[in-house]
Amino acid sequence: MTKPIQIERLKTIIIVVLFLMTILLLYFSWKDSFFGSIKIPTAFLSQEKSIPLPTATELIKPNEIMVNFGSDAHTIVPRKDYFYWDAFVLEVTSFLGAKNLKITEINRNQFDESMNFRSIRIKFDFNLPFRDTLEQFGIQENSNNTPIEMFTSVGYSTAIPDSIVVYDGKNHKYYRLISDYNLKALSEMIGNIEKESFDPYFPMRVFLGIDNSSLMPISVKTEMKEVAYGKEINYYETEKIVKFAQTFFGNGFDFVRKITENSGTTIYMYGYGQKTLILNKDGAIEYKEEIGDASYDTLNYFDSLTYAVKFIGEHGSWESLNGTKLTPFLKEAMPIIINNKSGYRFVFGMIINNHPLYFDGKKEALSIDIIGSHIVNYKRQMLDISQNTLESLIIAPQNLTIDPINILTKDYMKIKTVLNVAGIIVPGTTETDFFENTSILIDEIKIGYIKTDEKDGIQTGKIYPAWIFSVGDINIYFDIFSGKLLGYPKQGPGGV
Amino acid sequence: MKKYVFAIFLIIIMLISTTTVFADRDPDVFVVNPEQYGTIYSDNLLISVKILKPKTIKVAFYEEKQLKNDVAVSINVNKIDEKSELAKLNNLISKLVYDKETFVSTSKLSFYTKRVEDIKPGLYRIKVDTVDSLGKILFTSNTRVIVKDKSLEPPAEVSLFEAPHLTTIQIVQNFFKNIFGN
Repeated sequence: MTKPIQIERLKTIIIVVLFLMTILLLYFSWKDSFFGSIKIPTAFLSQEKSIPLPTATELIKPNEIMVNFGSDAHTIVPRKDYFYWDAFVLEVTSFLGAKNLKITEINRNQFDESMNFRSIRIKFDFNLPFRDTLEQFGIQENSNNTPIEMFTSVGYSTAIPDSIVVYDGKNHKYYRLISDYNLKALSEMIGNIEKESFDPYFPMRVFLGIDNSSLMPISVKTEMKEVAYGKEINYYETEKIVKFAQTFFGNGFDFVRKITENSGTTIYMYGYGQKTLILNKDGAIEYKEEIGDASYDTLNYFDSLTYAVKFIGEHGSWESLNGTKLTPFLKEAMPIIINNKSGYRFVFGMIINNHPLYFDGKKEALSIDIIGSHIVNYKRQMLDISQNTLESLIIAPQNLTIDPINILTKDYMKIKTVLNVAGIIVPGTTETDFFENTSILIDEIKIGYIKTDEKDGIQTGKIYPAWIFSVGDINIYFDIFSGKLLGYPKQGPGGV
Repeated sequence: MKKYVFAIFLIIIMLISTTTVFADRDPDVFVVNPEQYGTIYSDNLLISVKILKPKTIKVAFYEEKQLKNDVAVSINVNKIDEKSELAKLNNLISKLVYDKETFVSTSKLSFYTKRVEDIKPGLYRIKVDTVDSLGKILFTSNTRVIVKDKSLEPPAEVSLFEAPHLTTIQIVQNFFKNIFGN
């Protein structure tokens, strides 16, 4: 009797062990496909190394810090010396937190006139929400009810030394802020910047005798040179493509179709196109999500920015997929509405050795559309540049650029043609008319790197240092040393 | 009556003499900056010359000094800064600030630009000569500029910055905007 009982017990134990082993085996065989597909996508590379996300204050830097030394002598503070921006923010923090802060609306003439004296003007390429930005920068504003909604430009002038002036580019309004705080440090800052040997700039009216106060430099010395780059992802790097796609669709790729086109483009599509990832042969990547009928929460500017920054960190990271570290900056931020749902578009540029990188055409390094906390479009085209190349730029010898005025006198008809195609008609009957009327339209002349789509019909794999002539959002690029036309918009507004 | 006739005669002579001076100016060469007898409050200056035909120009930058007790001294432009007063000054000596520069324009439109730094207060003259291939002067123009210390720059007109205060309606509008948004 005892023996059969023992056999039965042994059988029971074996069955329990087998049962447990079955569960364990099922777990090990399913865990990747099942748990992988429902887990929140983690950083593409963060499992291998942790790449810190840029903060809002690191991303939000002025497009230009213009300093007027009086009598038309100006400079633009180079990006490597943006500690002046940090110092400016500190002063404004104290100013806004001081007692008796008064805000009055002024007109454009008053704003411009104040900037004609010794002054500093901080200019952004986009509008920032005034109150949210103060909060983000930890600035305590001491007025009960500010009328300023957004700001695009902030200035200080020795002509009104007790004041800060603000331009709201969204509502086209100008304000003067006065408080009990003494802004002497900003006046001293102008003096300190004057002692630096930054490149001199003068208004275009001084050079050309035309009605245009946009700043133009004489030739400058620069260490910029052609830089070789590679794509962060190539169409034949199957393993890398799969790994990147997994950050969007999970490891299992459940309900995901993969299409490989003859052109080399790879497309991943979830369901009937609710989510699509396109990896183009030229290295450009685009991820799209359909927006449903469900309601979406509305996030403010900085919360949306935080989500966008995190999403990029988790889907490709803030470096190139191969680890090239460039400095990102917020280049564009605008409200968007898709299917009656509001959100933001953030475009991020990259700084290479203190100079911004521009893309010929409509591409950008990183661009993201967010509705609530939902990413509906994400584009990236990061460049791979070797660390040796980046380091060599820092110590490269300086060379003298061509004078931008010589580009203008030589190529004003080319600029006119680009503008005409963009719908901006340059009036005139004589060559002098065309020269002056084209020059009047120039908003900015700046330096940067340009990645052209192609040069003489061939992908060059290089970015070029360029003088950039801007009219509104149309950029026309010229070689910084030879003055040769490098690029201009080819599609949409400004396309030729 | 004789006084009036003399005055008219004097004005005519002055006009003719002015015309004579400017008749020598090359019609294709213009000094864009600085303007004649303009005042700058800075220690640096941008000279810009527009050239409308292929030409060769020579540009010289002089300080106009006054002889006092046989010593050339800078003109005190803080005391005399009226064009008419400066034009009357005699015993002037021109001192080159930097060597003459030659600029060859090969196109129908070009600009000669030069930034002059570390200039002291005084009266300065920009002389632009158009020369032929042998260096012979064909045309000449002179532009005078008054340079003053930057600390003497007149302050902004107070009235310009007397900004209108927000009206009651604007304050109410802003109040509701802040509550309900736009």
